[in-house]
Amino acid sequence: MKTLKNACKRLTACIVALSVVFGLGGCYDRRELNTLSIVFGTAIDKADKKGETTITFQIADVGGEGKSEKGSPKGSGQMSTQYLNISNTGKNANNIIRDMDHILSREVYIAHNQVIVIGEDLAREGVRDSLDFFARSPEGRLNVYIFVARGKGSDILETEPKLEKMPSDDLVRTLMVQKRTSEAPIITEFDLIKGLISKTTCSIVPIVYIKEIEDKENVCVEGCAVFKDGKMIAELDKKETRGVLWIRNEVKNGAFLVDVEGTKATVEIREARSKVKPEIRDDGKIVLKIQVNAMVGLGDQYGKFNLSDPTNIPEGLKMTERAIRKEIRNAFNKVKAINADVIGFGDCLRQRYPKKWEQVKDHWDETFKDIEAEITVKIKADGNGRIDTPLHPSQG
Amino acid sequence: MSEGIRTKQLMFSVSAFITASSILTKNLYAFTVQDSWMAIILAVITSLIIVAVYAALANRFPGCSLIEINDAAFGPILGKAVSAMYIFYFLSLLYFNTLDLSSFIKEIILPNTPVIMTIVMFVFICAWAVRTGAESMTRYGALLTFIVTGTILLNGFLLLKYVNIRNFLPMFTKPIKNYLIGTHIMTMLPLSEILCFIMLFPYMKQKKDAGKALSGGLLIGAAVLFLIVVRDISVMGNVIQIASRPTFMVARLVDVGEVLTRLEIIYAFILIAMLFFKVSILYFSAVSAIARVLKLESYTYLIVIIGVLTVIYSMSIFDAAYEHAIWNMTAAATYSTFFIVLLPVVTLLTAVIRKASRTETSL
Repeated sequence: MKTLKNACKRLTACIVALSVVFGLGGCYDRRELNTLSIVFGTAIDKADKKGETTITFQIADVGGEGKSEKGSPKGSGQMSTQYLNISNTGKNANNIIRDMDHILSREVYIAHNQVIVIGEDLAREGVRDSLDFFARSPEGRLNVYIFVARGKGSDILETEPKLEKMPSDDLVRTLMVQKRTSEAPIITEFDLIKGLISKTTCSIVPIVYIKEIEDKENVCVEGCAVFKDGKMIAELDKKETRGVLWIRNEVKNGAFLVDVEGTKATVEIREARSKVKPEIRDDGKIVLKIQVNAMVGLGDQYGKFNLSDPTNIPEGLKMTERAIRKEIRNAFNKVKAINADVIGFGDCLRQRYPKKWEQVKDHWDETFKDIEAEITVKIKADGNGRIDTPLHPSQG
Repeated sequence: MSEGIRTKQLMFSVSAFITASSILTKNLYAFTVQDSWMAIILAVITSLIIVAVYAALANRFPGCSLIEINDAAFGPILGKAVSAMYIFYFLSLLYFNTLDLSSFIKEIILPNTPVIMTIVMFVFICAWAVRTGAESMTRYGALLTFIVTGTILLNGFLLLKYVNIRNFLPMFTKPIKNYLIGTHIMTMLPLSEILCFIMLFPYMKQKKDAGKALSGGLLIGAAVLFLIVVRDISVMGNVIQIASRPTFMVARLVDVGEVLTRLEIIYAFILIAMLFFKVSILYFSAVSAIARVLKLESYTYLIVIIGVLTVIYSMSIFDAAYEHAIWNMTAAATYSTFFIVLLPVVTLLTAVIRKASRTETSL
């Protein structure tokens, strides 16, 4: 009798344990890889009908189980990454995406989305509503890179990449590579949201457009679009963008053309850091103190005047200083002219001088026009590469 | 098995219990956005005062659980009435916390699974833990505390590129009312729910150190919560206000060299483990309290009953998720104040006035 009782106990324990294990497997919510259409890039454009948007998803066949292209070896372990752009038009992003289920054989999965390209038309109308779904969905992530396209965003996603597998990959990697020039900002959805919920700060978003080089289309990332109140109001070109990035302390690398005594030199920025402090003068005027510290090196020079010579270096540095200051000053004036606080100055004031902020926050636009900037640039020379003198015959 | 809970074990169990509430930080951020760290410090000070009351009760009645304390302080009949109120509170906490876990899992991890499956599995495992007894439950408190602290520090370290000290400014600019509400919520919801540990006092090895265990655990748990809040504010700044689960959203941002990404799943694991611990302790408190009031020999068969009740009630307390959010932000703190502050203080005063004191051996 006792052994039977024991056996029953053990059996019950086994059954219970097994049922717990099965129950905890989460099988109900299983998602097999070959039932998901994994989205790698998104484009949001304004549709022809009023109030409607077109969403384009760039879906890649990652599992390798779908249709393979002619000639691509299947079963040899190589992943076939052919991609597919699916568009749909409608009223709300979530609705549009749900509607895509009618034409897709696999469920949309946005957790691997790398880029969101916003068409210019939609950008000028306002992006807050379109981005709501991407911020709200539990699958969505905030590390997505955001771009504004000149023209339609879906065209950017159609551009055949030269070296990469997919246009979305192409976009992200181009964005990372151009970091060396610092002529376009690198903005994730997190950065954009921070700008959108701030009352005064305007966001900047890199611009991407299609450049025709020798009859072939190339994707080009440079310059930025300025968003005020969720709408795009202006574009900044390469140099103005870099000026703004100087103030935002986002320039880490770049190159300048400097003219010293007839020699044109490329000066490379090796390291850079900028500090921005607001200061309120006695007469109530707000002054922005921008201090830039940079380490620069000589990239190359066209001309005889040896810029690596220690006696000539101060002159070269002076010209570089002047060039940087000019760039920042131009950018600042442009920013004031379009009346957009892309440098986060309002937030800065709110954080450091809350009392003054209370006074000016209601008429921030006028206040911003009156802000002055004091720009100080300190440069140090870093190095001049492998040769000390230019490729000219030396004297004597 | 019958060695008794050591003081350090109880201390770390208390801190693990408190850290489980990191899921509820939304309530605090809604009121004192960037000054939330101040609310935590104020809440710790207030909680220490409340815990002093518990410690005084524990010292006056060493080795007694809450039920015996009530009986001694108020007399047999009124004491039972007060105990019934405590039982109601423990049960309600049990339901709310189970609901927290099930809604977390439903929203983030398993959206399509019927929520009853998650709740049944969870309650089953908690019931199993309770069945093994108080002492074995508190054994892994220290482990959980260390794991949580380690995870938070690691996450914080990986998020250094987003940290911006200026997110803490401007300080002290919110209306005073917000700070008071924030402190109130923080005191009641995570920090002072450790009232239920009084039910574990009879199982302690050294009954005199009960108060020390509580306050030590409170400080450790609050320190961990402080770390969480500081990390959240410094990374997110203003965006905390719009997130529905700020701590989780922060964990999602980790992206180091495109290799260490999507680490929020670690945070989800830890959170489930912490909530399991918290619900087990609450479960045990409720079951033990009912057994003592009804003078039952053992509480074993009550476990299943309370388990079933938990499954049913946690699904039916709120009609909609937003009701839960509104409850957390408005009424929950006041509801808890009655049981956490008012009743123990009244009990202590009554005990002092009536010069009551009693020692009881465990179980």
